[in-house]
Amino acid sequence: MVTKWLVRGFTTFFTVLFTVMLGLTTLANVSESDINQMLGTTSTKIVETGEVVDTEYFKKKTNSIEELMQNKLKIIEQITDEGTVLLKNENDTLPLKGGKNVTLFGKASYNSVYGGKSGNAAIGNSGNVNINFTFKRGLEDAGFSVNADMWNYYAGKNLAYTSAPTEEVAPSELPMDSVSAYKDAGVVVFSRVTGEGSDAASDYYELVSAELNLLKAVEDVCDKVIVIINSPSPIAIHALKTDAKVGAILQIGGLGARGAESIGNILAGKVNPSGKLVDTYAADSRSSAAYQSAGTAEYSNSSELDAAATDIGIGSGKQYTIYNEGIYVGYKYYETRYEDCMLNQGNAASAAGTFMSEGFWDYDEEVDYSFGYGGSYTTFDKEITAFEVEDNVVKISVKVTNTGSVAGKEVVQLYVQSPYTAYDKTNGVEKSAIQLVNFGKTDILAPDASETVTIKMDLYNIASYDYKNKKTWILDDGNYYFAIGNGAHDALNNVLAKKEVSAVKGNAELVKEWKNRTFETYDEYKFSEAGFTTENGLFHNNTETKYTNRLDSADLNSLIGANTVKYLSRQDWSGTWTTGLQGITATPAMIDRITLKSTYTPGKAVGDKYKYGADTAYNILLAKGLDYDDPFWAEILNQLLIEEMIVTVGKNFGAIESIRSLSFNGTVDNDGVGSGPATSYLSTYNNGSTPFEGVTNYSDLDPRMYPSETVDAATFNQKLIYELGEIQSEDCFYNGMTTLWGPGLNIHRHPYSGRNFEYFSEDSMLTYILGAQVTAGLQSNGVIASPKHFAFNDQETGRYGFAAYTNEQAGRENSLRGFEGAVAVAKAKNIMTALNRIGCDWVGASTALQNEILRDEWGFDGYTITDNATQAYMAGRCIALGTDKFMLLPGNDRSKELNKDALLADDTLFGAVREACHRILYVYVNSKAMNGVSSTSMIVEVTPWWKTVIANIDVILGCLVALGVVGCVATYKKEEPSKEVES
Amino acid sequence: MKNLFNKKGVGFYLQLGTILFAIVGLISYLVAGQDSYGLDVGVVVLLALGIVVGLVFCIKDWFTAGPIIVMAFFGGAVGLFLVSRFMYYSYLYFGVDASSTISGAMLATTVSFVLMLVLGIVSAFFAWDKGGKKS
Repeated sequence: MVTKWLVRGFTTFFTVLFTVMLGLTTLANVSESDINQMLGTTSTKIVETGEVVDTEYFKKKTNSIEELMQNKLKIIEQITDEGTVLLKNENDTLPLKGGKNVTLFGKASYNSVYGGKSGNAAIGNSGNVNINFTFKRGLEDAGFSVNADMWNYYAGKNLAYTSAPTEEVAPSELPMDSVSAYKDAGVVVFSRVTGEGSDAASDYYELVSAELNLLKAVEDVCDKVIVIINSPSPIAIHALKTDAKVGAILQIGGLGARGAESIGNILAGKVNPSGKLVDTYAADSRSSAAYQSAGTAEYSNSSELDAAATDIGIGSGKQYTIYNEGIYVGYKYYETRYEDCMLNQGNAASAAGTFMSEGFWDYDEEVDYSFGYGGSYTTFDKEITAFEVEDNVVKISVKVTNTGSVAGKEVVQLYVQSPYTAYDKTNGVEKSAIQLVNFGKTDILAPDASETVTIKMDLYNIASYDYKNKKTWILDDGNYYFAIGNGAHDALNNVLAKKEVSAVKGNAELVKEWKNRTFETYDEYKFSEAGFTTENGLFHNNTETKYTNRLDSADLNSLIGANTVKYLSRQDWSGTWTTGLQGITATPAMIDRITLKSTYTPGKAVGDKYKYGADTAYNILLAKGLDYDDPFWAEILNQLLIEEMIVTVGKNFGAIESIRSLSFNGTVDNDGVGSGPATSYLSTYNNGSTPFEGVTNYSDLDPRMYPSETVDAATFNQKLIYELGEIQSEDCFYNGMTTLWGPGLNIHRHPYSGRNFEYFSEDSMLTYILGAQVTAGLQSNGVIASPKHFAFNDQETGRYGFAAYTNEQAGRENSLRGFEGAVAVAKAKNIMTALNRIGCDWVGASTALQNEILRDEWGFDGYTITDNATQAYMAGRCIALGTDKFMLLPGNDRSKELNKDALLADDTLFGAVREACHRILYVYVNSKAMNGVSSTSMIVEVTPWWKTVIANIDVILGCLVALGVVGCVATYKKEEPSKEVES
Repeated sequence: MKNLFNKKGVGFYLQLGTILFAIVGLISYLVAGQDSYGLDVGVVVLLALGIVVGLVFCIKDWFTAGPIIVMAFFGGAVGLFLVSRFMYYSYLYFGVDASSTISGAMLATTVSFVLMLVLGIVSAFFAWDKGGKKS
């Protein structure tokens, strides 16, 4: 009897395993490319059938992975050295010259913020501490003795880096007795971190009593108190600024591998800080104009949207947000309101929007540290030695002299104040009182040494977008003030000094006035120095398309009616200040767009209009170097089977599938924003050791070691950020990646946006410039950059489909500007679209955004890819609206709309899918994806080891089930007689 | 009915538990499947077939083949479930979406499926019907 039940039991067990395994096998088969990418395996092989030729079209710049790692760590450390900002340094607190015995305080001193809270940036907190250094190691390497008892206590508590600020350990619980031997300095680390999918809670960036209690306790026992702000987004640190016992404050975003090392060296004086703030540090983190309308609201008639939705749904399409702040994001709000206060205009001093001021709005109470501000251990004198505006290019030379006693670097920041004219006021054109134009950075200057920094920029970049009247960029006639300053506030004060405004401490010598005598429109603007080179700087590649309104449908005043939305205006700060999102009722036309009913009209049957599956045998390499419009491309595309076209645009999590008939071997594409490339190094580079203790194989080493993008931006070092792109590109030669999804080029609309850690700054010009530099560096050697998330992903709340409503001036001058730099200047070849809507349209269904602005105006000749298209509202038909490729996880597809029959029945969609394949292949035939492929190469299928393993498991389980069934039959028959006996 | 239960072995009661969890799993899956990831009809059909066949074999375990056949349906359902929910679970695992947490219904589905498989397998090691001529 026992045998019978054992046989049946195990047979059942194997049956369950077998059936579940069949499901997993199906999953593995549909996810073949993704699994290959994850495991570093391949399902195809390039076989050379002709003469062997050099097919390394793009070659590594390093000779070995050791050399790569050496160069990479050098760049990383330079970024964190230069991206750390000295906010406060009183009474010679820093550098620490006396005692070297210090104590680290704060839960974040142990579990620090290395990047962000999610996805690609969380790696620092789960990786090897020998790769991503802790503060303890950073300080010890710089020569400090760190209080081990305190460190061990925090290690024991091991409070997660994501834990709430209120979880800070109470001083009474800390081993404060241990501090007496390590009281030369108390280094307190306060952190904040956010991630994908949600924005920070409404008071997250305020200091809490638990933190202030800790600070007070440290002040009581330590000789010096230094606070490290370890946060990609600004924390309200008014209490620290005004606390006389806090001697110094340093700010750094996500640390990356060597941020802690940089902090140690800065504390020790081995590195002189030269970083500048990428965001305004307001006294109250919720005081920005943009934050007043953060988050989302639901349409008052959202039930009608539910009723109107088709089978593709609308995601979070019932939610919307409104950019009530207009162009006044970040410092553009605080500084413009400051000037208007000083000039007593526009009700600027009214109580509207006051958070820290008493009775009336007071800049000094509302702002602690302005955008662009950053201190140094030395002092610099600046002198404008040359200034000219010629051929619509402003060029300025500034002599920087180190007047202090230690060596250091300094950033020359060029700002402009454009005239706010009667025309602007009449036509609703807003002007920031001060706006970053460009910047340059010196090398390390020894005491008394000088260097002249020359900066230039096209006037296009200081033009304003007039969306109401001229419907294009305009350059007002009037006086323009080009000013140098240590941050936006300093530059503005210099401008006000030049304008002889009383009660302002500024230096008029650091301002040059330029009078533009004629009002100009830039609808057919041509750049005099077109194209990006590392020598000439940042100039657009010219296109033939006019700059004109494309986003009227994103403006509720156009969609619903005038005065539906009141945008913030410096004409009346009080009257246009908005608190909270106003209620909106979606019109029938809006509902049709949100549900994607009216956006796309299918075509007719394909018939003979397009060829496919042509019996030719062209190798994709024949198209290498051809113009996009070369007629030969039609031959290549005619050769594609419909199935191949569908797979190319609608399969895999980003990577492009191989196309055997074209000898195209596919791509390996992965995330890379902020922390770096997410694909591991290939095992072929394993040689028994790495530079990191505890890691033997390079394939076990996570390449994601870079600091957060906010730290990159804080360097204000364009050359360094170009080199960052170059070294990330080099990473891709060792991990096999072709496209790196980065950089992140949305802006920090306000501190609470969940994804600020992977975007550069609140300022669109800083984003424009650095976005262009890192993209150019990335693409300098055959790797493809994919700036993301295009566009208006300035918050995470409701990200799967919320609608962003804005006016075109705000859109052009803020949200789109960063992408404009990467595309129009640096010619990015791939763009990742966002999950949200612009107006009623998902951005991947917005022809205005993807075709008219991106492709026509900016000259984009690459392909667009969606972000993770989990939601069905990102429908297959969107290929005909500008999307080129869907990012699809296993189990997710677009086969309902992207199938052979559907394509043959709709020549519009067929043509769009064909064009998307054209764009994708055009990008990759001119990239490092073609390395290894010659004109006589063939792609043959091979079976990766994991498929063999799965097949073997299936067979073994199947045999065990069959054997079990036989056993069951045998034991059943055998034991039948016993039943009789028993009876 | 009393006679029926008198004739049943330990495996039968374990199988009842298996079917109970299958029913709970099916109901909670019908609820959980209303999210954006959707409902896989194959999972529902296989679960339903497993439940029906399971109940039939509960009446009489013909040729002692009950658990093998029933668990083939349930195993297949779970296999399909894993395929259709791979994206959902990978999101949770990798924390791609900070706001993503497993829904109550999906948690109930997952727990039910696990218990269903475990109990179903264990039930196969014991007789469902007591032996003897009376049976």
